[in-house]
Amino acid sequence: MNYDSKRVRSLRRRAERFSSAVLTWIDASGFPFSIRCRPVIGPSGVRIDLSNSIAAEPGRAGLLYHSHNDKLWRLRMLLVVGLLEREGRAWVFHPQKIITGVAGVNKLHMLRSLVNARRTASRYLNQRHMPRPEVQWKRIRELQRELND
Amino acid sequence: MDIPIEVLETFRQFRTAEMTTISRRGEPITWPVATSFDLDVGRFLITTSIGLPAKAFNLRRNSRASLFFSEPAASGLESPPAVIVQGLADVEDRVASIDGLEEYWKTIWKRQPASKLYSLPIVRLMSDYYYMRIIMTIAPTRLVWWPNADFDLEPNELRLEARS
Repeated sequence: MNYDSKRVRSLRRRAERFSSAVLTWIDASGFPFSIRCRPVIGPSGVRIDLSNSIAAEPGRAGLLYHSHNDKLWRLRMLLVVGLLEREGRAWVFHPQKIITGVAGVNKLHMLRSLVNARRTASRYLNQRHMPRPEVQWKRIRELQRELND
Repeated sequence: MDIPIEVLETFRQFRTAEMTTISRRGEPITWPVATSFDLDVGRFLITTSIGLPAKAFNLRRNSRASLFFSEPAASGLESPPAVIVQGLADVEDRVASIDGLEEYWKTIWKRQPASKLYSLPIVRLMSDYYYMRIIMTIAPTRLVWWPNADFDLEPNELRLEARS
């Protein structure tokens, strides 16, 4: 397997703060299938021990690390896509692309994400010749007030 | 639908599920989402902003998706199962906002109070797209769950007929 060890090092640094991850692959029926695991990031890839009752499939896979607090805030996430391979009795995930989430990095990253999302939203509407919907801010305020009552 | 109560409670109480769609290149792309399950219609509701439409684009190309309930933080449940739902998705063409999604938004604001900042007058100049949503629903075809989220155990499985 030809992989970039720099990528593995970068993943190790970013994944340190998470205690577990979600490994996902495409199963034999063509649907995604996930399992929560404790990946061990080594020099030659990410080793993942799976129980024998789990029928993982080699091929394209993803590894998602994420966390939130009790109020569903302080969102942190890290998504990595790559290849899953069987090596003896273990599974090894070879990261190919690291995709950081929309939050939890720093304020500059958050601002950049906001600007990008705004551009994407405009493009979404323009490509479909849709007018920009009028958001009912008054209705939102009413609903939020009902929630507080 | 003969779904065990502990699995239904997981659907109701978990704050997030890990949703996977399949990209153009055939990669599974997994993202945490808030979801709600309507037992009467047998479908999960998920929405995404038009500022982050990748999930919807993937589902329009390939409707096979999954929702994985494996992060119990803030659910209030003790030793809940971990559940994976595989199913077929529908994506609406319209851009929705508030109408028809009132209960969805109330649940979001209740569970994630800080998200109300998107409706503050100054912030909304920049992020009104947050309230412009693409509606996705998933009809489950297969459930697999591990009691106590113990992945060393043999999981339980239930096959379902997707309701249209």
